[in-house]
Amino acid sequence: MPATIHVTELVGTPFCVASEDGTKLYAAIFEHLRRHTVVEVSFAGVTRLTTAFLNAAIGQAYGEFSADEIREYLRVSGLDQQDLSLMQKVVDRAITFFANQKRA
Amino acid sequence: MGTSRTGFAALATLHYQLSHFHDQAIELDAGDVGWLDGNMAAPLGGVLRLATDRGNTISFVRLGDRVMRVLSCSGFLPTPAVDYFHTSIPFKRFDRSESVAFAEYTEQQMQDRGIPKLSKQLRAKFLEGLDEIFSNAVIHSKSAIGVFCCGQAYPKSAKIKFTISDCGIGIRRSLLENRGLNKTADQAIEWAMSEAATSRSGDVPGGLGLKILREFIEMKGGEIQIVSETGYWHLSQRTVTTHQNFRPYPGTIVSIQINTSDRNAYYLSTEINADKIF
Repeated sequence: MPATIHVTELVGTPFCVASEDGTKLYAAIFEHLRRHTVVEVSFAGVTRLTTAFLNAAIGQAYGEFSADEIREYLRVSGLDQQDLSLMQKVVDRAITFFANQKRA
Repeated sequence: MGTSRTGFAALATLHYQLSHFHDQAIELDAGDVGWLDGNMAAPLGGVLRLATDRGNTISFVRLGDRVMRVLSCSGFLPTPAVDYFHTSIPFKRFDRSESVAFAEYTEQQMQDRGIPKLSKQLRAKFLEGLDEIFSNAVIHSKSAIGVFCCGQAYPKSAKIKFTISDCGIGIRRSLLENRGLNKTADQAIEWAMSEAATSRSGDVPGGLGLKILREFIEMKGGEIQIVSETGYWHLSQRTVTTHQNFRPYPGTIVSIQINTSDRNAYYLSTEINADKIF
């Protein structure tokens, strides 16, 4: 069984809107990615989600880990289709953002 | 004073006039103001706060009954008024660290007050749009006096207008400081609203919030108006118009309007599988 991070417990609110809270989540995810252990991030109970939160929580992982590592060790659950769409945009943007940084 | 280019320009002029005063008791003659959209209390609050922070005290004179009622119902003025129709989303100022408090405020106000006709999905997308605007102000504005918010529902015309204003550095300066791009104020707004834009650098990607808001408003046939310094940008009926105002607004205003009677589902083009999202 992979380790599970319950987002609402970690940030203490169902409103996942603040970039600082996203950074808290990233710190927890980072440890698993660094150790190459699978982690599931459960968004169950989250009622509000912003790109600012997701950029900090998930997007910045692409600056430190390869897409292959993230694909292998990171899982998400508890997101509806609208939230998954938001997540998809954040992931796509992060990949482009860091690719552009490398080129610069 | 409607939610329009002329309404925003009037506030910029008011800021210009007030900027000459320090440590004065100022009377604002509101005799010519026949109407004020409730949501315009947000940028008005920012302008007046800048003036009071210079040691001025401000009072209104010749304030008409209709305008006084609007400003009282929103809580902008301390005079008590009952919002019988539950159409005001109260005026409130937040520090830039209060994203969660802002989300709680909009969640509660959209539940308890007069927005009963929104579909569940439209309500969620509307709140998501407000969160993205607020986040943008938090991340980019550097506003020392926080973020000012106010909304107004118009049940007869089935509309909600919500306005968020900061008194920060503006989009043009943010772009100049972070990316070294030198644009006019209206060009800077257009740049920020374009698909690939981000003024962020460093460890955290950005630049999505306003695009997501635009996509939602375009799909739902609403309106976005953005004022930042002298720049004015307006999206309506999927058409953008821009303008350079004469006087600069001291920061950035983002105002959105949606049709509350919309019942069309907000479909995604393809189903997304959580297992394959990375």
